[in-house]
Formats: sequence, C-alpha cells, structure tokens
Amino acid sequence: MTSATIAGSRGGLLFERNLMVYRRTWMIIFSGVFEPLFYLFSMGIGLGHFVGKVPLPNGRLVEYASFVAPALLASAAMNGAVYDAGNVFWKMKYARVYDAVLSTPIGPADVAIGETAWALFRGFLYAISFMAVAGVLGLIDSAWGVLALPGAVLIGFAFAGLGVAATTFMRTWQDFELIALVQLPMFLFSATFFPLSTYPAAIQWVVRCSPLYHAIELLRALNLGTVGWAQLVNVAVLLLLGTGGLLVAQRRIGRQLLK
Amino acid sequence: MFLFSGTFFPVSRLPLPLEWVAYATPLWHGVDLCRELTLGSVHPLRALGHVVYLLAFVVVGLLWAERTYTRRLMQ
Repeated sequence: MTSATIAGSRGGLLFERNLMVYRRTWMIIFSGVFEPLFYLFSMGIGLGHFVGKVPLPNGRLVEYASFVAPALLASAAMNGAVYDAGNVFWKMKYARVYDAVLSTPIGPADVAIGETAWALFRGFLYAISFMAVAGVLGLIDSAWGVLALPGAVLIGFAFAGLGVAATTFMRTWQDFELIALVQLPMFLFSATFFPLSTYPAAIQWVVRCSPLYHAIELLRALNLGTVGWAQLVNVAVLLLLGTGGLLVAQRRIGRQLLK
Repeated sequence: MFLFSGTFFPVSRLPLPLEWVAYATPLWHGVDLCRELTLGSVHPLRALGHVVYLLAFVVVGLLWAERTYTRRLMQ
C-alpha cells in the first residue's frame, strides 16, 4: 500500500477547510471563550469568598479561586475537544463532508489528523484567553503556569482522540447523550471543585481513573508550582489516551467511509 | 443564568448593576423561592412576588410560543 507512506500528510488541508468554514461563524468559536470564565467568576470568586482557603497535600493554603482556575481550564479543554468530536459525527453522517473529501487524494488518516489539529488549535485559543484573564486576576501562583498553555493543548489532544474515537461508535444523535452522561459527572467529580483528599479512600481510586483527573492534576500542579514526578504520569496518561483514541478513530473512519 | 442567579453565592456579592440583572432573571426568583421554602424562612409577600413573576413568564412564554408556532407550522 503506497498510500500508507504518505498517510496523514494532507491533514493540513482539512485544517484549512475548517478555518475557512469558521470564518463565517466565528461567533460559535468566540462564545466558547466565556464558558470557563463564567465558571471562574461564579465558582472561583463568588463561591470562593465563602469557601476561604484550600489546603494542598503539602499543607500550603491557597485561595479557592487559584485552586479551581486550572481545573476549569482543563475542563474547558475537555469540553471543547469533545464538542468538536460531535461536529465530526455531524459532518460524517449528515453533511457528508468526508464523502467528498475522500474522493480526493486526502485519506482517512488525513481526516483524523486534520480534525484533531483543528480541535487542538481551538483549545489553544481558549487556553490563551483563559490564562490571560486568570493572570490579570492574580490567580497564577507560579512561573510554571506558562506551561499550562501547552498543557491545555495536550488535554485537548487526549480528549479529541477519545472523543473522535467514541464518535465513530455513535449511530444516532441520541447516543450522544451517553457522552454527556460520562462527561458531566467527570467534570463534577474529578477533584475539580474540591481536593482528592475529600473523597473516601476507595472512591479516590475511582477518581484517579478519570482522564479529566489527570488533566486537572497536571494544570493545577503547574499553576500552583507544585510540580513533581506525578505530573509525568499525568502527561503519559493523556498522551496514551490521545494516541490510542486517534488510532481507533483512524481505523474505524477508514472502514466506515471506504467500504 | 445558572451560575449567577444566586445559585452558588448570594447575588449581593455581584457588582450592583449585575445584581439587578440577576433580580430580573426568572431563575433567581425560582432559586430564592425554593430557598425560602426549604430553609423555612418564608416571607409571604416576597414569595407571592416570586410566584407572580414566574407565572408571568409562563403566560407570556405560552402566548409567544403560540404565535411563533402557528407562524412556523401553518405556512
């Protein structure tokens, strides 16, 4: 198979396509900037006033807003990536965008890579805007916080991979409720709003299995300057989920579209 | 609306103009009504105000929906 040698090399074309499509509907992208900011103002600053300070595992006390901000960024990166995965489903099943795309030299690997790159780019935009506001509000406690930007992109990659892979299993729009069914509890219980130590020991292990937990731990450590070896585990888990998801997605998109 | 209608923190924590926006949302009236009821601190007049405000949304919403649905479906 000669095409295997160049598989994925034309993903940039699909990225360009998305860029041109969204030039007309940039408002959809722009509105995503506000979701994490609204949560930050409501939970971090509004509710945080009554919560007071949060103890870290090392005993240090931090403002609730500083504690919750990186978790909100991680969750926003997840939501954005999963949302884009839903878009892929729509393009595949209803708009039939890829039917036309695949009749050109662009292959399934290009589609998977192009769509993922697009989701990452979008997540990166959101991360920049969120970190800018958090920085202005004085919620970034450490210089490590700069690394939260590539961190957010990595999180976007992990969930884009997972999301695109999950999407290929969807038959109807109703199946997307299943994603929401996983996504919302994960958002609420991945040590997002309160520390892991709050959970009973048995539940702590369940939380540790949540992909979002690793995303949040990574960004929180960077933001609060408590970076340690555990963050390598976080990065490894996220990388693994992203690449695994992409491989599954690439295989299944190829099978579904080229049969 | 979900995040800023007194759901997670009192609206008095909002900047003054936004506090008034919060008072205008139907959710704030619902939240305040439920809170008064569950905490057992009901002020009859205030509760009545909430109920009237929410009912107004029901009536206006239904009338509006009837018009727009008719226009959409009957053409």
